[in-house]
Amino acid sequence: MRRHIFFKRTFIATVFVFVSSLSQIIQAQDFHEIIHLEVPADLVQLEDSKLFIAAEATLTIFDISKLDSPQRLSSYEFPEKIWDFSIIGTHVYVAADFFGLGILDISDPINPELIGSVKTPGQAKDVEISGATALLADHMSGVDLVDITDPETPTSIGSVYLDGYGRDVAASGTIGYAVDDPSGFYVIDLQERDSWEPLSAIQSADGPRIVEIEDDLALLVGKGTLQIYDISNPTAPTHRSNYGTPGGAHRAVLSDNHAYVADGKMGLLVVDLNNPLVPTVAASYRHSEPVRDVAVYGNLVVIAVGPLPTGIRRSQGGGGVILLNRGTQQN
Amino acid sequence: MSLALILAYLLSILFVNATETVAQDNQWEKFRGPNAGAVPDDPRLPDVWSDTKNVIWKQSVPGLGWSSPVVWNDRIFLTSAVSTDAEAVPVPGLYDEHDHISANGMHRWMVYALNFDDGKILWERELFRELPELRRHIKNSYASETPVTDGEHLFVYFGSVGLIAALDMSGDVIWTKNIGSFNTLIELGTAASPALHGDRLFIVNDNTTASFMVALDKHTGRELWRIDREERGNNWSTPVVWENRIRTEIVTVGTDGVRSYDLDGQLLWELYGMSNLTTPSPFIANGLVYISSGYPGGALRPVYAIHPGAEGDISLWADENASWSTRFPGNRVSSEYVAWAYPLLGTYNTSALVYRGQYYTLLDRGLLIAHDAQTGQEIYGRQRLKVGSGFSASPWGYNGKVFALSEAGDTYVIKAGEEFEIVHTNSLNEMTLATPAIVRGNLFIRTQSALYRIARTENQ
Repeated sequence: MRRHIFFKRTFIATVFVFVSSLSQIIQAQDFHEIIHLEVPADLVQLEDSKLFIAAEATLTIFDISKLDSPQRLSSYEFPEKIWDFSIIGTHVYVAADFFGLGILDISDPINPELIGSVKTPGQAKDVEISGATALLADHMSGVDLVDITDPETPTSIGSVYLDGYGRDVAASGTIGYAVDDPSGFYVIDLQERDSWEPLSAIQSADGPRIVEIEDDLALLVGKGTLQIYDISNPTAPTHRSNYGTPGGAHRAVLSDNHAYVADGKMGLLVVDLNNPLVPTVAASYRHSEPVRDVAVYGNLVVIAVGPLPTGIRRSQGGGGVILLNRGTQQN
Repeated sequence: MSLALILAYLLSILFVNATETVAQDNQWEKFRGPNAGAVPDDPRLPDVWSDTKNVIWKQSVPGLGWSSPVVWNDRIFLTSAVSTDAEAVPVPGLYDEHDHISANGMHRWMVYALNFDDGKILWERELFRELPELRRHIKNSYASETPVTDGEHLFVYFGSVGLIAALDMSGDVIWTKNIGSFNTLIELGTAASPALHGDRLFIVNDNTTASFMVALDKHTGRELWRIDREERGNNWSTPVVWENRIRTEIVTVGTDGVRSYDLDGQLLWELYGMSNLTTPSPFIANGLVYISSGYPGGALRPVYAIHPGAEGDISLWADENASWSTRFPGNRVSSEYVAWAYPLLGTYNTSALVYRGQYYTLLDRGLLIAHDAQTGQEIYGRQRLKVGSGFSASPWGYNGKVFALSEAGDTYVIKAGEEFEIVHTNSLNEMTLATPAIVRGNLFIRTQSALYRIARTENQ
């Protein structure tokens, strides 16, 4: 009897693995590799026909108007490691660790120029822009706020106390969002310049390193888990669900209620969040190297691949960038 | 005993105590002085200064050392580590991931005695010389331990090389002893200062090899006793000798436990539940011992105010596995021996200040919080001093003001009391992490390269 149960369980497991593998194969067909660039890459972002790649302290700009033959336009090296950056119009706002906030003018993308910078008190880990205010996740200093009305003279205007280490920020309209290590998720009214106290603070997130916002949805990434919150009421965000990814979710972006997840050794994972209570895998893409970062622009998806960071370091160096097209038709 | 004799006896006690108090108030014998930064009012003490205004003198100090000055009679004592080569420059700010550095050149571990009146160096003594074996955090120095003096001898401890020395007031070395140099957590360097009581000098050396505490005969350097400590080298806190109404005890603060010992090293009480790293030093005020630690990444950042007479384990939050979220919102609690405590009030580097009945917390990120020192009731919550300022020096108070010295060398002068108000800011325009000394109407601030004597001049 016990032997019968054993074989029955083994059969079910085999079928499950087969179906899962088949599912992966089918899902892999959702993405088509356009080109693989052999360039070091920790972070990637897309804006119009430009691809921005950060590797350690260097930001490189590619022209991808011809997707199958991207052209490197320029590189700019910062004094410190680039933890994240944000592109608004002809400016790139760079969170560069001890250097603080650097503002690059890329109106001539062949000759990017550092037109302004401000040293933040901590270590700049991320930057997001809301109007004329830059929010910086500044590690031990919490969230720092910088007036960028004149990008040549960015000026510190405030700081929001976080209980842990400021890791990531996001902004939507006049509301800012921040996460800290080990467990905080904060909502900040950026118009309330007198006190800079958060509108709300939740201390039950699990090691969040990333926060992404789309409409009433906040996606936190930490400890290998997607943590989904309803933020329709900024004074009381509501936790909806957690989704543990197989590759330990390193970074993610939101697009059309889908989380595009750089899922390390498990590749790129797309999770449908239309029902935030029940996240569902919508697609995936595997590569021989782990996926470090992901960016989405329309139908175009870009991933940074390479060995995953260990400890507090962002990069193990090396790697590459892969441009993917979502759907059956290549541009 | 006749009434006259009793009266004479009582008067003699009063006289002796008064004399001791006056004598103590006239000296600054250890880290944070006789009253943990709270200083009696004195109209000579400065309210406003700059690098030129109200500066009685300024003396350059060779090398790098974040130890505080100590003052006895006409002498000011400082320690420093002087390199033969250029070394990495300390970077102010709030960070924990900067590269930890090795020394480039041969270092000389120095003691300087300065003249109180004019700041001239009366003598200097080299106690040790080598290329440092230990690395350190770029913001730390190889001379971060503050000496202690009894007026006859100066006791100097350099944890970076494990050297303890007793010097007389003329700079002659009476004895030296090496207790070994050990790494602290991730090679951050050393900082815990020695404590002195009676004939004994106490050193707490929590390290990553084998943590211990020793008591030395201050006259000879002979080791009187040594106890092992179950600590992992996450501590830079100076122990305090607590003479309370019940007994005299040595309170040591560590990440893995607060432990109080009698003068022979016997454990009296212990308390578990600190943050991951422990830097603030315990201190005595209002008959309580105040204890804190506040590493930002820790699940606890506690402050405890403890009554005398505790025994055994008096932990409130001993559960190491409790999640961070269970500590929020961080309400005040108390117990038989804990007058009050908060789970999330502690600072990372600065020690707190009790001044005029209020407990002031100076968060490293430049925020000040006030509580009733006796009850722990909040008087005001987080108040911003200035955006972008980091704070490592401990605050102090006199003449109805609380002073907070930033790493940039700016001192924020805040009204003491129930309402938060910054009166003004005094700038020295140079980095400092050292906690000042205040004695006989003078403020001694050590910056990266110099020592300032600051006092109110006639027209300012």
